[in-house]
Amino acid sequence: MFKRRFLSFKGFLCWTFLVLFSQQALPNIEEYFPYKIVPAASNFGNTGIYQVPNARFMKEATLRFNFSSSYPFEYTSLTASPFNWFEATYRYVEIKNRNYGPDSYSGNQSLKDKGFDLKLRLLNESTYLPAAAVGIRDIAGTALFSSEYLVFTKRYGNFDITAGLGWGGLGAAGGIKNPLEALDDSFKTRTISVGEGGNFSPKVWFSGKTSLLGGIEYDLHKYGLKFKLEYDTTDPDSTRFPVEVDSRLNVGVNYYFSRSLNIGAAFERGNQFRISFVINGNFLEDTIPKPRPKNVIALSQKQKQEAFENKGIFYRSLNKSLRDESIYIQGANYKEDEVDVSIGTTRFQSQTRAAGRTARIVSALSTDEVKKINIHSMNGDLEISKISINRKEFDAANNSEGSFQEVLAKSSITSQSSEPLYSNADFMPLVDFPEFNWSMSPSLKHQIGGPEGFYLGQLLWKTDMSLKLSRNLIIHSSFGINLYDTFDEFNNPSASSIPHVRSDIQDYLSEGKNNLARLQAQYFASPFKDWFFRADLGLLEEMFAGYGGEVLYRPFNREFAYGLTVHRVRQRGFEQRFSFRDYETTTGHLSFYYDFPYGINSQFLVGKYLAGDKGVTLDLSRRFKSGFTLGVFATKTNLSAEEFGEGSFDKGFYVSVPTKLFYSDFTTGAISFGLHPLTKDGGALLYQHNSLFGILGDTNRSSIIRDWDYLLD
Amino acid sequence: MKKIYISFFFLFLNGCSILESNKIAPGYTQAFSAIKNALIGYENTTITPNLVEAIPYASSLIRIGKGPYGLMILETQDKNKTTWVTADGVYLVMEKGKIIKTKGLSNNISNMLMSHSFSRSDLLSLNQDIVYKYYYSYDFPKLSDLEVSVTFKIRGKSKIELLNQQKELTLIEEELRNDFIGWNVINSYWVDEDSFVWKSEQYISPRLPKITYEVTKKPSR
Repeated sequence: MFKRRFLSFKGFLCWTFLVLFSQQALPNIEEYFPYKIVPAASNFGNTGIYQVPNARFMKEATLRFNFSSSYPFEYTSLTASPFNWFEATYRYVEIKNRNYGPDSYSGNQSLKDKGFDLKLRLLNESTYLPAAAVGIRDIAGTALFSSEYLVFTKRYGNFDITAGLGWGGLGAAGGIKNPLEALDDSFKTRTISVGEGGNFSPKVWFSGKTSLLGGIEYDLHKYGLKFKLEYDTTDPDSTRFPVEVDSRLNVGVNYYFSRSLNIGAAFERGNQFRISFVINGNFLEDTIPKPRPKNVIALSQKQKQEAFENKGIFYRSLNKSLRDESIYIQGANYKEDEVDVSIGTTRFQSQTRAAGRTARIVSALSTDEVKKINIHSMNGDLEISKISINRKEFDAANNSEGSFQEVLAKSSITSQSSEPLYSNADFMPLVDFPEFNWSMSPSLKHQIGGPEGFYLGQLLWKTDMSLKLSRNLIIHSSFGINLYDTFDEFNNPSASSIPHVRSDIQDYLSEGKNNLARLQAQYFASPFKDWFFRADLGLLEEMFAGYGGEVLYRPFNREFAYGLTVHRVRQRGFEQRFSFRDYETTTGHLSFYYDFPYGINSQFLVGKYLAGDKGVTLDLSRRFKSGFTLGVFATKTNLSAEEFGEGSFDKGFYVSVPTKLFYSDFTTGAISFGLHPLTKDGGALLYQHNSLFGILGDTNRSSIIRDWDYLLD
Repeated sequence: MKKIYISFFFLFLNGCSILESNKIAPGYTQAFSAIKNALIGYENTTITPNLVEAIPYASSLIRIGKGPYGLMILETQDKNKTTWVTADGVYLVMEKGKIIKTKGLSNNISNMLMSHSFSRSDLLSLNQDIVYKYYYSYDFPKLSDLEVSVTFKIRGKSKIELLNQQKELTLIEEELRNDFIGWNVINSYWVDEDSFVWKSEQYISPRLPKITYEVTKKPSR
């Protein structure tokens, strides 16, 4: 009897082991399934099941768009992961059975609630311990969906099991005593303050009713399916907008076309179907192969000597070979033992890559006496760096007999911005000033989330022109011609109690459909090493004209920079041509920039904003080596929350995706988009074309060293 | 005010004697081209019969997925095994036209065992009823001996347009199947009466797209 029991227990253990760890015995086979299943999005956009979040995360540098529709809740969201352990989500929830407002205000538009969610990993999953994450939904919102959670997720073979605690919306079902009551009595009750939103309410976080929540996901890799089941603790039948609940279980399945695209169908609350669509992209690395350096046939010793004696041959050959790489000489000096070349390019984002390709060509054309190749990189007409490459080490590395690290050890990286090579070079290409340049393309303007309609927009034909009168002196213009718009529906004039520096946006959009967005003269200079200067005059942006400038000190070898901008501006007429409104002011800021490790960049501004309010702006972003950038900003000024209006203070986020990540050649452009949830007058900055930090922000020594492995690429 | 825009427009047109098309919606043009290449694939615009003729080595055309066409040069030949190399350092080892080892791709065949040998088989007389076995080993990520069931079908002759000639070739289909991971693909080989593979479309790993290969200058025996 004992023996039978013992065997039975052993058998049970064996079976348990086999079931739980059967997939782990083949650790790499999952990588070979034709379908790639990745953690799914919850309804709200961040990683999770449906209502219930889990402790899984997207890979860092991922952007995910999620659309999830049911009745009455429809979610549209954008989630970003600046780190492997952090997700941030911005979303709109459409509540289809509620109106945005009275008919006279918003017609029959349904209610939209916007929200911002954060999720943070506390613990990585290990053999015995689950992954743990904590998160907050609707962090500064209207409290309609405010929730906090602590969740644990553990994988057993193809099962992913989640359990945790929910507060706020996720704790609505209650069921257990809030364990945080042991720390402080204030966690006992949750004071709900439903308002316009925009305020952080940390006092209510993790307080009030608490629920145990959980769910199970199962990956069927062979068919690209993920099955999901959860116990919904949000109690949707007893909220401000109650819906019928026949079951607390939500169940469904997602089908993965690829790692980047999946669709889902679910049955929720026992009576409604939900469909979802998710598209995501990871921008950590450039995965599309790019052209290798063009093949350069080295000159023979005799030809090199001839090119040295008749330097015109050298300069012409250099000019031609560099043009084949879309690198343009701004100046060059060929001395006995070193060559200096000043280059500009709109093809390569990384100055290290352009420098490497230039050095390769110089080496193929110059005599063996040349020991040093100095590459002077230009951005516009400003010289931003000088990379002095040891020719012998470079040639060895280029022939796979050395490494880029060895080249770095024997190279120097400096800056002599106030004495650009082009000002005294032996060879300078002839440039006929004035130099005219132009481009035109269709463009979109839009306003999202207004009471008149969720999306109102304009399609216009935009033409940009520039006229360079001399080095560093340029006139820019930008005008738009309306092709189609829906701006006539605007019906929500500004009620701001402070000067309407931004909140008259509806008037600017509807009256300025055909506009002269900018007509501006700019002058740049670098009077001293590492000091840069810019002067502006004209129609500076769509809403303001005036004059002013910027000074920036960027010590090349350091991780910080600081500057000052000052502008005297007058508000432009709504039609954005040559008329002006009465409002004028002086605006300006002291700025401080610091580059932290891991590509984290910060900007801190203090000064006077367009409406005359005074305060500070903090901008934090992470720039990945691929150039992909995620950032957030917030501005707090001396305006009260009442004066500022909905939102309480200015804040927003932005994303920049380099276009080269989509193409099979290098480009310097980027697809950038940002979102100000609300257009308010408080904390409004003047939009500055060609800001000095925009031109010089990623050009210091550490940026060149970060990209040093591109030298031979 | 419309006059201002019209005069701006004509001023601008006068300013440039030739309307440069690359300045009109350059971003959209680039995006359109990238999307077209991603959906339809790249066209072969660079490798011509003249270029192939000018190179004094055996060569073949290669394309990975919908990517651009490239030229491979024969590096070595050992009986029925040939090693081909591309300008960007991709090596393919083939046994009578079948890819059996690779280097330089994002995922490579590090070893391959076959229950029959391409080199020893007369491809035109393959037994179509036998289920053969292949065992693929890969790197990055490492996987050893992925068992694949293989069946062949001889589909018949047709005229095939190659880069520099037209040939009447027999299509042989090779079906690969692994039910555990759900990998089920069909490779195609176009062979002449000597069982020489002139063209093929091969899936070599569940992690790689189809590799298209076409001989442009046949190796001498």
